[in-house]
Amino acid sequence: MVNALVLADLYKTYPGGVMALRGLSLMINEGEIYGLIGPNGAGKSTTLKITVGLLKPDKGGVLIYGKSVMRNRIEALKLTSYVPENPVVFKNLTVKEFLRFITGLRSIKWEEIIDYAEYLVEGFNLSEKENTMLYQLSRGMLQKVLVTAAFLVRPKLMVMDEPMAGMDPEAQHFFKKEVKRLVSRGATALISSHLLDMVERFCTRVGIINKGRLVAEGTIEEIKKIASEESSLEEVFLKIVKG
Amino acid sequence: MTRPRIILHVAWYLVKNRAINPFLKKRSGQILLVLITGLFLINSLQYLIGEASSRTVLDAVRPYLHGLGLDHRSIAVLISGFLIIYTIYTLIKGKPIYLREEEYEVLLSQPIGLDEFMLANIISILISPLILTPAFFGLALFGMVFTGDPIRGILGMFGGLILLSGTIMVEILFKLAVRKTGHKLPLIILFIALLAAGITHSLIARTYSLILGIPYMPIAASLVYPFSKSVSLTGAIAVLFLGYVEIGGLSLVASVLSRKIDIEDLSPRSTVNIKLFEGGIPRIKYGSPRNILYSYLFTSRVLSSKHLLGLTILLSVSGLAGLAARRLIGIPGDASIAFIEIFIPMMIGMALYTLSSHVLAMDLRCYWLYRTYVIDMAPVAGAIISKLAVNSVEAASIMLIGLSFYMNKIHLLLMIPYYLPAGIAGAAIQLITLSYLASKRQVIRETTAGIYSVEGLTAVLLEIIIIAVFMGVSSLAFYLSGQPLPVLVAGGIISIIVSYPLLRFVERIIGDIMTYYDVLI
Repeated sequence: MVNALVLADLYKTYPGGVMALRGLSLMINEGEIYGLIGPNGAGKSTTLKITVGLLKPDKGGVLIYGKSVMRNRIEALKLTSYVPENPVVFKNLTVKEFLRFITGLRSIKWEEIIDYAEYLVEGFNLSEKENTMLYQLSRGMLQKVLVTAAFLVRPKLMVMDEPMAGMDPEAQHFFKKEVKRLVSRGATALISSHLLDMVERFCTRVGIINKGRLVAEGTIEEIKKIASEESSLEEVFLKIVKG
Repeated sequence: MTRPRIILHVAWYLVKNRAINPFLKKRSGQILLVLITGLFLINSLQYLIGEASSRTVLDAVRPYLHGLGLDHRSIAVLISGFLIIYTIYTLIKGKPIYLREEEYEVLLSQPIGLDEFMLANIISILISPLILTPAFFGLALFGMVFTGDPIRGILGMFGGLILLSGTIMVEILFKLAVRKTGHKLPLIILFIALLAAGITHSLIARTYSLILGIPYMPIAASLVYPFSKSVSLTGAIAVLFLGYVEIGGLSLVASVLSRKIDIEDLSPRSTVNIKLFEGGIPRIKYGSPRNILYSYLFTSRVLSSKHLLGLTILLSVSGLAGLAARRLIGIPGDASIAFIEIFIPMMIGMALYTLSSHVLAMDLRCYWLYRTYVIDMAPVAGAIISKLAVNSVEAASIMLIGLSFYMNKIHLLLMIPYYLPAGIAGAAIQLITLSYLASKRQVIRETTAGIYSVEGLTAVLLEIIIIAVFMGVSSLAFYLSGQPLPVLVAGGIISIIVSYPLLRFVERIIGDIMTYYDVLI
């Protein structure tokens, strides 16, 4: 079994003194859809930002397919795509320009992926917006553009922070379908979400994070055993988080 | 290993996002481009066929400048001196390099080296201003009207670009230097020593010391020399070349320093906005909604220890600068006073507009909250206008204390209250414009950006209005300052008395307008 992502003993304290991570460790295998859940301020976004090298941990390390993000940033990130928590984009580019920009960073020729790009743009109902400036799009639309870019770069590991926030049901359905398709072809996904129903039905393994530590981890069935077989993920989550 | 292709790819899209698309893809930008280019060409033609007036603005201004002991060299020295002060400020702050949110979150999570990003960023900084041709073509137009020579106008435009790029590069370079070396104190001491030596030498020799020009003279001279008829065209071109050489050198050093840049050296810009306006926990006085809003939006900001400390420092610096100027060049003659009375309020007005735009953008970050939780918007409007009006009075105080010492006219200080009603009027115009524009935007769309700010042509128009208001009241103040003391005091008292009903009147009107635009339409 190949380790797609290893987070080892991560510690992170922000300048104001807030300790976001306190020795968080987790391992995700290739082909998994890993759901990271936890209450607000638990450290989910910090974990994801450290994973893609946007933050430096005070202690600990990140390996993406064996490559260290701290020591071999470019090689590690070549395998990765990221959807940030807030849909921040290059607002003065058009949808098409933005997609070409991101794919160009991976030296992917547009001609090679044009069919896939059209398929994604169609799937997310962005066809009519291709030449629209990004500042003219709504939050949900921006989210679709960011997810499209994340799929287009042919990642081995997709790191997504609340990827379905603001998406309409049709787009959510397409998103899940596409993630499953990519995963079936060898990709891996790490998804942070508050949508516990979605995580329960969509993710193959779940990690619950609280106060900067991983407090529970396993398949949905394993997690549910912590409470009782009949419990929903929501009930288990509340039980674990509230002690 | 840096990859030139990736660097150019990133630089190209940064330029596109920062300069090309926002300006040249918008109809208003295109119209402005055509308009300014047309004006420049028509005026150039006039000068070339000799139909324009032979007396230029430069001819008219020169005696005033000479009265202040200023020529092209000394103006360049002064600009260089300001760049030294800016360097010291950058070093003391020692902040990380701030990036736009998207550049931080989206770009830095891609497989590009941080040094590659910094190089692309540097290229983009050097190129982007060139793309914003209309704004700088405006500078060329100004230069042509100023000197009566289209070629000097164009050279002046490049000079403006050099100064802009140079200032940004100085900031990046010294931020990198502080972050990389971890020793900012020696650099601060070096630049403070340079500044002190320059000022001391200037005071002793009663001239603008070249010591102040040591680090940045080529960049500073690039803006000034093309506009001076004492400098030949060849000389001006040579100075521009030297300016570019200095920027190239600064960029090179910055590129070398950025090789080992760390992700922690970079930070999204949202953090700077928050830090800029944080002043501890505001002490909110609870009670009626009006009390709470005034307490949060006005009192806690205007009376914060951080704000008061900053104000005290600025008042002291202004007073000392006034005294130093009097020592250096003596009390100015009537011709020079006339120039000062126009130029200084114009500069302060520009600074005031920048400050008030920031204040408004930050205050209206929670516009949605006021819309949904505040029943009567009048106190919101009143508190914001009060704060901006107080800022206006503070700006006037800083200006007048310096000028009163410089011109030896202590009566000028009595004119400070005159700025209060004018400040209220100016703030009201700004707030109405902003709330109107905000009502035209979808709230959901703006939540990602988080702030409301005026952009493009509206910003230019508002800036002109605010500067005009400030200059207008300043002209009145300078004119009246020669009147007998009781008249000045009476005028001040009347200004204060008038301000209160004026504030209540405009807050009521604007409060209703804000409700009308945001709720009913």
